Amino acid sequence: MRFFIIPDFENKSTLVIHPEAARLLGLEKKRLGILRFGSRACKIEVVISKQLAPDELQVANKVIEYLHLPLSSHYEVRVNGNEIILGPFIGILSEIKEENITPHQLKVMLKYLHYYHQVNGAIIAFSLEGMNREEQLIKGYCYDPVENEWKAGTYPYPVAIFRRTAVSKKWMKYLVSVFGDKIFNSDYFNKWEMYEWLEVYPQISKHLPQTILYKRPEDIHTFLQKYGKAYIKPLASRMGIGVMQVSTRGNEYVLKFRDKNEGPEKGKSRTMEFLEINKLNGVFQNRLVQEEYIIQQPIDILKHNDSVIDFRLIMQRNEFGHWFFVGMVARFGVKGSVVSNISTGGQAMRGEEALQKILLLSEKGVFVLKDKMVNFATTVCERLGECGVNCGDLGVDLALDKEGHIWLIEVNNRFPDPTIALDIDDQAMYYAAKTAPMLYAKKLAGFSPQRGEN
Amino acid sequence: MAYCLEIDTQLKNTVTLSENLAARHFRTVPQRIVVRSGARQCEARVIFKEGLEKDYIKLSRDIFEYLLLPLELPYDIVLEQEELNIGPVIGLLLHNKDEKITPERLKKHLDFTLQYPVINGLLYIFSTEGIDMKNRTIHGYYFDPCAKERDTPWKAGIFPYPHAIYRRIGLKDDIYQSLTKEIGNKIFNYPWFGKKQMWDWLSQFDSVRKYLPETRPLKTVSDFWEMIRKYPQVYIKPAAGTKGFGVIKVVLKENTCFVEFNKKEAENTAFAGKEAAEFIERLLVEHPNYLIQQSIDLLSYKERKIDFRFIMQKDHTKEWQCSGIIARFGKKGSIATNFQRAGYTRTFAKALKKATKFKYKEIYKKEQEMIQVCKKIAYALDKMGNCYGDFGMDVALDQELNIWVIEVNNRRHEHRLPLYIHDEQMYYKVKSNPVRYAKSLAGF
Repeated sequence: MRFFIIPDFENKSTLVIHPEAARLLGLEKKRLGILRFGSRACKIEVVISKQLAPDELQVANKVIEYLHLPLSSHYEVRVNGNEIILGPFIGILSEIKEENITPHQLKVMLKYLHYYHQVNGAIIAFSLEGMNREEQLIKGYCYDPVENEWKAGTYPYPVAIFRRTAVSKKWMKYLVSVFGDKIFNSDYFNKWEMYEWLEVYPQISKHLPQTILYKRPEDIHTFLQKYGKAYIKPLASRMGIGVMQVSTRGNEYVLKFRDKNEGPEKGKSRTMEFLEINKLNGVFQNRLVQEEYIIQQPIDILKHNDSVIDFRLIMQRNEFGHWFFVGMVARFGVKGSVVSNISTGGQAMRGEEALQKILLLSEKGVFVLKDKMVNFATTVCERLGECGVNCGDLGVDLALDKEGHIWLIEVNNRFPDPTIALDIDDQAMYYAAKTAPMLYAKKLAGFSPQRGEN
Repeated sequence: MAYCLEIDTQLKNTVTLSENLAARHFRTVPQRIVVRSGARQCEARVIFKEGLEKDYIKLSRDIFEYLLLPLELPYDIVLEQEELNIGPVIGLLLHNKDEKITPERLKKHLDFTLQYPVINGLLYIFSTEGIDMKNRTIHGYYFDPCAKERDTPWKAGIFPYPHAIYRRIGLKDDIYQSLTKEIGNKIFNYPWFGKKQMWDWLSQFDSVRKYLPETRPLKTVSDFWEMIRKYPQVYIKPAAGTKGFGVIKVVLKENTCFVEFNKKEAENTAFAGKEAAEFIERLLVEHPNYLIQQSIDLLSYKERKIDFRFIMQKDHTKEWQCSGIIARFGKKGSIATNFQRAGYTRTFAKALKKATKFKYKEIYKKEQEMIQVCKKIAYALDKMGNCYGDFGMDVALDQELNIWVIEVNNRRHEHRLPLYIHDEQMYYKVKSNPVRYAKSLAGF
């Protein structure tokens, strides 16, 4: 049930509630209580009255002012002992500096609230600069569902935080000290950490290409001897930047990479050939930094017209905290390229369509294989949660080899980009992906839906 | 994690587990343990084998034979201090008589098994006839994932009562009692409910009542007058009917009742005052179990009324999800939306695109809103019955785009509807989801 707040200018410390609402919330006998909104709470007297509508709460104006309670929000109520909690109260940490929360930024963030009626509560967007640590107050913007816009104001600290920006270690320490495990996405992990954490799980390890952390050029040669080919990837790169592929051809070494020099050739695939191992090692020593790259087993990834294909599965947590699958996009790399990113000029297609067209599967075959991929991705997300990662959304990149075996290529945990859904013109997927973080935030804020409550 | 069972031909009344399994699951090492398959259980001695890298479960032949589990299947286990539960054992009750489980039907039923790779265990189809209440066993057909392509993957056998049952047919009380005594409230959907029961139950929830057209039994002529004065249009329909059979629409205009019949347009007629009362009295004699329902001025497109089937199912998370939506356009000028007769179906987005001026953004918003209403209703119905997991809800929008839930089909709603909009992926999801719910209901 959702409530509207009505200010009461006559009384100093009352909460007036309709008898029906009091019954539903179990407040019939309550005379005194504590009204809580985020980090602020205030003693109140409970008055039951038929003078207002069942979905109205009349709150003394003094209390509203003290709690900094936005009146335009629609609230849900939870009762915990003597505390009557208004919420969910969710903060979107969107920038470091206040000035960077531009009107444009705010407009972009409206998309998170497209399905506000499923979330309800007070949603504020704020910057680190806007946080007043002494008073535990935040200068920010609160979402107004009637006007569908953000209103500037000052608010208490919220209960759960959806983080959209990188913050310093020092700040992170502070945020964790205040919000505990109610901040997501809490941690980033790089490719090597992901490998180390996940390879201990038997259901996952057989889907991981063998990976080691780069220390010296000899490490790469071990892989070359074993597999005839190796991938070298920077630990934290995104969108395939800095990925190299090295292979042997007769007595030659072939190195493929994307040109990173500025100019018209930027991003283009380049190939270098070496006859002497020392020269190749020279390149490695020049370009690679110890323990900042991984070396990875090559996989005979499924190709279509010489383009490698991988699958991005958008995975999100819902209002109960369960992981669920939002959608799947197949990405085709540029012909002959070492990576399959759209950003390098590749193409995208609906995942199901790609499975059908490339593997020539029946609809039933597509369902079974997709289901296998989705279940695997769900396992990966759940295990990462067990490892201590508090994430609301992950982009799981999978590939298939020619035998149909699933390989886990990467888990993207830095705000996986929902616009990938627009690359395949799937608006429903786009809105689902955009709005899901708020549902998980609602859960974290302690407002999971109550099943079958009135 | 799936396990293969092994049989020990030497020992008796014994379960042998690898030590690594024991180390992971036991606080203290037990001497004896209950071994369970579905509702069947027995006690056994438990011993441990050292130095094995793989997890390993070996049952002595007598235990194995008692449990009635096929040997070659991959099983999940739930291993606790006092109990080793092997499964899941899931029963699909799809027919009344064994003779109805024909090879052709079994072939179609394979659609239930598409998610077997994450189900594992013993999944079997049975008929009411196959239940042996005396021995507490069931004769049926289990799914063998390793069957060769040309062989049928369904193999006959005698099985334990399952951990959970998904049923698509009626079930007599005594059989239900006998089953639940052994397996608990793990049969869904149970019990079935009619339109009136649903209204009586749901109308007490303020949060959902506003989405339901008012419904009451039509017992007297004054029931009729009360409703028709309150709502200028009403439907009169059988309490147990489906697919629009026997539906009558009555519109009150200037003291005249205009009566429209579904599928029998030729009989449409109009009555005033006393005549109308006589008509209702005749109806009451012929049909003592009719309901009278507030009529909703449905959204329509080119004189075709539109309604939506929301397929609401529980999945492995045990929460309600929307597995799919199908929009139905009724026959031109007809009072019902039975698309089978001269109507057609579309996806939700296409239907709203036609019938409203909505942009996609607003269409998906409406869709989410409607899904939320369906979820609320499903959770409220959960509180009424013993166990639900598969509903087909008929949902409509009126001209002002308010949401109305007309009916909740809880018996045997049409799983094949997604095929009408050529969405095979949706169809397979609808078919296989209940089995995933059955697995988590089974405790696995």
